[in-house]
Amino acid sequence: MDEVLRLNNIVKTFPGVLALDDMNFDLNKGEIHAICGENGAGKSTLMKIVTGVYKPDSGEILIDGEPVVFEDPNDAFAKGIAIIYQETSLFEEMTILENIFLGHEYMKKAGPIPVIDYAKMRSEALEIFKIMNVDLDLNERTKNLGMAQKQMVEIAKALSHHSKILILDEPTASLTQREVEALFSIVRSLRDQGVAIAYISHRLEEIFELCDRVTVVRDGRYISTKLVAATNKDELVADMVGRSMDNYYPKADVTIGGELIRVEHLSQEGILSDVNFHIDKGEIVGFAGLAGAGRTELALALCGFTKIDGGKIYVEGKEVKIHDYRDAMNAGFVYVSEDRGKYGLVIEMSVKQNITMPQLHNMRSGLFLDNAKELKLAGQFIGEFDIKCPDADFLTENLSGGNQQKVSVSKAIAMAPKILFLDEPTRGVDVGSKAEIHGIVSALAKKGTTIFMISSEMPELIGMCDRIYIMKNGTIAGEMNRAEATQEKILKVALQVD
Amino acid sequence: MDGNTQTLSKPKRKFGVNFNVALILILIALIAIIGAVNPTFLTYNYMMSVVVKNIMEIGLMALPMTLIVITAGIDLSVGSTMIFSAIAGGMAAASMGEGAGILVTLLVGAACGLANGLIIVKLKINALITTLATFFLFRGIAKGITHGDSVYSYEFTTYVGNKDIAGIPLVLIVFIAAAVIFTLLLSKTGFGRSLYALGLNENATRYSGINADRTLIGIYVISGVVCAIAAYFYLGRFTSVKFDVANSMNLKVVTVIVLGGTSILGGVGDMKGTIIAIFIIAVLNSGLTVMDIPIDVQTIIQGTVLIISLIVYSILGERAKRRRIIEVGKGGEPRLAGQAPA
Repeated sequence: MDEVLRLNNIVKTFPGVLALDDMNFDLNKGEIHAICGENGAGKSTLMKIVTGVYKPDSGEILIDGEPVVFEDPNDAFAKGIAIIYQETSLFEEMTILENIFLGHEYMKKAGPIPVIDYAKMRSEALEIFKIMNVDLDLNERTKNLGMAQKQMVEIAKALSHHSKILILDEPTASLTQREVEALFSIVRSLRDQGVAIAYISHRLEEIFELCDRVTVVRDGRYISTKLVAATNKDELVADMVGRSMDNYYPKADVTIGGELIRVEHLSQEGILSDVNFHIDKGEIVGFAGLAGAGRTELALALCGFTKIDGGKIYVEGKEVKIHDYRDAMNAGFVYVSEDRGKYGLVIEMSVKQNITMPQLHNMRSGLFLDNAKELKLAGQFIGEFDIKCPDADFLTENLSGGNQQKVSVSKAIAMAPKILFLDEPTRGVDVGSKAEIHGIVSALAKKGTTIFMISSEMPELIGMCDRIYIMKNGTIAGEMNRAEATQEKILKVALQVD
Repeated sequence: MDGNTQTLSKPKRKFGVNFNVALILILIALIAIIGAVNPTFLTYNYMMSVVVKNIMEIGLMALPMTLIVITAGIDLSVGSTMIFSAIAGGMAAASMGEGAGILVTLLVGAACGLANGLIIVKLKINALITTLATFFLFRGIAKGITHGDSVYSYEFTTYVGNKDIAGIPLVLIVFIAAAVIFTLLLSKTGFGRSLYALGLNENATRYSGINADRTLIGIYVISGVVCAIAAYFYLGRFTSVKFDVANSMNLKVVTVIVLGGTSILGGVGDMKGTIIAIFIIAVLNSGLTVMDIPIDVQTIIQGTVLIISLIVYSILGERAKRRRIIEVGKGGEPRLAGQAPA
């Protein structure tokens, strides 16, 4: 087989993080090679190395056996490597034809003036469509296309640049079953034409249906490469989760009280269907699942940010009606967003102003805000959670990610919630802050606060939670308690592998 | 209280005091120069009856406009709202009496503000576009109901528009009271804090449980009501109004806001800057006239002043930003993913 791409011993570090450690990968002409691994395993970093977005610290990249160095993404693109992301980057108001040739249009002379040679572009585009075995109207505006058709245009665009290595990054994440089949047939016909395809996915079924070989990565390390025909799902899952559980989660044993929240038959058109769960007082309950399984959507619906279509919410046995976040706060619900820069904090404001923002009505003396009250509240949390800032008036944007997250969590805890909704509470924070946040959460539960914790990091869920619900397709697909939960079992339910 | 609640963003926070002081120095310099050229300018009578009175409607409307701009919004319909409410009130007074006139003026102003607020917040249409449209709409309605005729002042408006108390025009007293209220509202209350937060990060503000919709609609309604109050003085001062007067008033109000150091992008600014800027514009308007500078040259001077002030704000803002980056760099704090390790 002709090897077109090889990565040898790639190492990539970011300040404080070893993103890729001794990573290997190779890709042959005319094969579909899957790369799979958990969220954060290093798949994206690997692809960013291949496409020239990042430069490796050490290791070598070979194309057709020749060592190459990519200065930037254009460099990699010029050498025949194209990547198709989940989100397409097409110009909606342009036609398919214009999008395919955008930036490298064929020109001809109309007298002295160069004009675009549509006829030549059209014939070449039809040629490409033939290779792909698709049939689309080249004059259609891109905005009228479905997700799958847009991906086809992206692929055609890559082929128009004579790309010989095509990387598909979770291409089926937002496609329907029929669209997936159409995409697969295109990918197969490209393979048969000799294109080398790297296929990133965490849907194991797809790997077995489509791919020839599969490479598993975990924690930034190369784990294994196998022929798809010679392996099975259980083996891949074992490779993906492999590591032994790090037991540094400071989960304290807590006496669980009576039921705090019960949700029955909650639904939201097209997003959540028939969600049923309950959490007891002082219990930490994790919500696992793949991206798009409906975990964040569930938290947002319960907190009144989005409208629910049906179902009942009971708090301490009494039904509550929640129309907006204020109602939710009054019921004792507080939500901490996963995106602290966008939803969690006003980073241009001070630590104090962020912490007091949800309860400015408690910070008054008479009509006006009382700085002493604000400082007292902020100071309490700066001390308690060891937020590293010179004073309470320090701007939040100048704090490190971990300390920003502590401000975001403080702001919520300052409300003295009955149930705290934590959405990916440790995403993007350093290891030290992570352990501190885990400690804070544990201590809260001990004081009787109920925790609804969404996390995509399974060791975190298993280490922190009393129980775990696993979501899939907008509903609860499984439930496990701390004793029986393993990454493998959770992943099996989330991926629905039997 | 250490008074640090007024301004939140860096350019103003670091340079805020300096900048407001600079604005005051500019104001004093202008008064001195113009007074030296024509001493009449410095007489109490001229100051009150020309310099101050001519700016008061703009000044009143600039107060709520500062709140709106701090939330990253804008209200271009203020002049039209004022004229529309003056006209509607004048017609109501003529047919139904004084009380109706007073009430209708206020209701129309509030309704105009409510319409702006609802369209901007509930239909999520850009504030600039919405209020540009209602700028024409309110004028159009004013023209329609008057058939293009003038509407005349009634007893109440004539009284307030011309009344002096102890030699001080009533409108100035009302303005000072309003300025104090708005200054406190913005700098000392939770409501004011939430306006800055909305201008800086509307999502995070909503996720803090602040009722953003109600707050935003509220400030457009306040703007409409203040336009109606300005309408009493305007109608009284000019004894009659037609639908097509005061056409560029909205832009003059925006000029005041920008000159006062409030960022059109939201989140940055304070009420004191606006108040000083009101008087700078007043002195420029009347001062250039007493200096016998032709009206078209006056416009050029005003435009130049605005451009210079914008450039100064931009330079100060950049410098503050650069200093911030250096501070962060010194701490050895890695900020960007993808940076090579040191």
